[in-house]
Amino acid sequence: MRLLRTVLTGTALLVSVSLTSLPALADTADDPIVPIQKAPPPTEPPPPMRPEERGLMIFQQVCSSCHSMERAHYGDMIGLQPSVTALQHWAQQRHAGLESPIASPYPSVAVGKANNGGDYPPDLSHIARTIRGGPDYIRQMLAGYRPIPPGVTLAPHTYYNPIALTHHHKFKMRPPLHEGMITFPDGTKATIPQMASDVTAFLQWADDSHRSTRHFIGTAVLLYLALLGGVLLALWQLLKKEA
Amino acid sequence: MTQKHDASIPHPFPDEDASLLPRPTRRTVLTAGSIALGGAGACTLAVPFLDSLRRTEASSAASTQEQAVMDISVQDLEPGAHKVVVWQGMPVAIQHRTADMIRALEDPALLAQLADPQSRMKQQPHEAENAHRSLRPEYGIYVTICTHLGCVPDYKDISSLPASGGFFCPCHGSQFDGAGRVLRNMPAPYNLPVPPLHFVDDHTIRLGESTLSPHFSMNSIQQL
Amino acid sequence: MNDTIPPSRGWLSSRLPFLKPLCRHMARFPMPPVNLFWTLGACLMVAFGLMFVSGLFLSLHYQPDLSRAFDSVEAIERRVPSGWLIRSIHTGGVSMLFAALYLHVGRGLWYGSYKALRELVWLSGLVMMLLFMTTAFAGYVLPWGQMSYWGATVITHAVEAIPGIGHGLLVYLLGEDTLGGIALHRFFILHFTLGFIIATVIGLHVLCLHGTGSSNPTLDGPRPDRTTRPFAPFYVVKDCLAVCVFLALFAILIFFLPDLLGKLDNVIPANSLKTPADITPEWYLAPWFAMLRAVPSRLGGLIAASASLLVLFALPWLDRSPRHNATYRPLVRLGMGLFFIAFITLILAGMNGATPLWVWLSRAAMLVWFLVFLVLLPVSAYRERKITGSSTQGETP
Repeated sequence: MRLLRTVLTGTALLVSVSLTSLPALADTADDPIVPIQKAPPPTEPPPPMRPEERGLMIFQQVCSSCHSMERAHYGDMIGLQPSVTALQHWAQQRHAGLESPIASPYPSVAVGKANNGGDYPPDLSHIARTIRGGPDYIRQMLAGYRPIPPGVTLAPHTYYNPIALTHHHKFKMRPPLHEGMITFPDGTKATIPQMASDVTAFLQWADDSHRSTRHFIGTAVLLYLALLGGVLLALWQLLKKEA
Repeated sequence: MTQKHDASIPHPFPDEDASLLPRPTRRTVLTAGSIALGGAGACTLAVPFLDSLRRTEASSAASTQEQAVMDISVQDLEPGAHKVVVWQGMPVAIQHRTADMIRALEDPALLAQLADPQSRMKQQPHEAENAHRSLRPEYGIYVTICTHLGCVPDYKDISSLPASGGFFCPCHGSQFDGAGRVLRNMPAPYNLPVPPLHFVDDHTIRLGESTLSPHFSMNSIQQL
Repeated sequence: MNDTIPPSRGWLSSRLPFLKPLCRHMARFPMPPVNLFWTLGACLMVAFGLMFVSGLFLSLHYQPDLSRAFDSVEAIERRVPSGWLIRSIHTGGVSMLFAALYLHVGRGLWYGSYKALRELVWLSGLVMMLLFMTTAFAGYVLPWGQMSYWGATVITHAVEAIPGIGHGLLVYLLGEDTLGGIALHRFFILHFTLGFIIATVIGLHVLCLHGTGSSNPTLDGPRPDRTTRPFAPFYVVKDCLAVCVFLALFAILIFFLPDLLGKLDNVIPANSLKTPADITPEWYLAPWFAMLRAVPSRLGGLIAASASLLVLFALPWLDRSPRHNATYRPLVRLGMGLFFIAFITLILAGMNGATPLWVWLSRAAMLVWFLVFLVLLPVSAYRERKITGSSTQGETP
């Protein structure tokens, strides 16, 4: 009964949680834990982060200020950011909840276009799969901004990027990455190629979150089938001889 | 997979039967092995299918965090009136009692009819374990979900004792008094739960948070 | 009737008296010396079972609603626990199923499994193939991505080519003028229901097969082998072994090559104002798409595509030769070889753009398709019947 009720009220609960509960959380849930919490010893190095985890940080702080990721919910990022509180906080900043899609910050396509030199920032849900050139293109393009060469004139809100495929290198996306713009908790230096590669890893993850699990299960299934096939083959050979 | 040829089928080489005597061991082992492996594989295959019926990871992580709070204004509630609000998807009845109603809750004739008149079952925070089963006597606040099978009881006075108010569950006829206490010999085993709450001011109730028993939540009650 | 329980029988067999004879029949079912192509039926059974179960579980999470269909599929991929795995079984399974299905039908064509006494096996199998094609098409519409929408648009508009009633029929089937929410709901119900109908037809197919027995690939050869052996345990183990190999290929497809056969554009929600640049059907429906495209007239294309399937139904009566195995029928061997090449050509043509080369290749392939079945097979059968006289060489029933 209680389980059923909990399931039924899940949605209502989450919405109300996201609106009002952070102070309550600190009061009720965390209070008894605080006294026994110990600070980690200062000598211990911070845990290493996966590239897509760093990529999520870049997405949260940089990409999502123009791009949407409509197919994913804020809560889906739990695969990269295990702290629900942090995800709730991020969603609240954008006036959303864990179960809302990561929507475009622009109220309409027209506003988005007007803010970006006439090109609407595309949705990033499956960009790693659908963009021409795939992840390699994204990685190189993000790090591909160059100073304007002599003889090239650029319209306002246009940036020179010889890798970009649209508008003959006169790209409408303003250079998103700058040296040291993000401090990664694992100590990785935020260079432009590093961030370009991390954010690409994140976009690949967003397109296909289960890649590594899939390969793992696939290997296990094949090993199992090899074992079963071996036993069956032996049995078959035996039966062939017997008959 | 049968383990041996049926005896009624003529064996193509009957003479060889004798020389096959040591064979069945190997064959039995291989047959049993493939059946066991195949069965294990089929069971493993069922795992993702059953797994898909689970709730999503983000929602279960969020739901274990804490419970929601909700502020309700009772300024508009005249004495004798009541209203129902929805808190965490549950109907919560709020009644503003008159002095007569409060008095009626302590009527020995009523108490004699109740299954748990002293609220011994943990269906409320301890500050509501009193004669009027609420934080303040003039406000009765109950989660109106029948403790029998989860239907929603509606207001209906107990016919013999109309002054005390009451709730009536349409599904199996459980009756509760105006303080959500179940009558004797009803299908419902427990009183209606009292949610955790406190008064922010005289006219505002905050549901979901109790100042007197901070660890009380809807998960602590006996049954919902 | 006598209601006393015979003490010698078990609880179940006294209440289901046909159970034991049925099991015995299955176990002792006499199998001729068949080759590996006869394991495809078991593979198909497993593939169908996986499709059925994964489909049922997907339908728990899918929402056949215009505004929510695409998002519910994304939810299955992203947040339903193990949803991505179940969906990959379903989307990869359809390719595995059709691959095994076409090989199974091809085996029937090559070894003459459609011939006298097995007509019902052949016909029920063909009905099942049509049901599978319809189910696959309806299922492909459900995610409501770009490819779903435009594939459904193209195919449903082929219906419009039927003279006189075409447009009316289209509107009747779609429930409105354009492909929309009503049609999506219908496609979902159709897809869901067909799964159960196919399960029934599978039962009929197996029932028909058990009436006549499996065909024998050695009969027309120089050394016919008429010995049989019981289905269990030898053929059970052989089928299991084949299923193992089939599942390994299945696993490689869904776990390591998920994008091999998938269409990238289907991760973009349907947009009724923008047709994707490279619109092609899934490979298993590509031959008929190529036919629709190869015939200049819309009605002609529809007739050609339908006739190409209908001609298969007439096969038992087009080829009445007593010989079965194409290996030992030179003319038929040539014809079947050409037909298989034509079929692969049509698959490739359907999956490639409408360039003149592919259009002409598909026209040639269609010509081969009809020539083989309508001319070559009857002629060859006529000659063989004259040579062998009225003596029945083939199998004895």
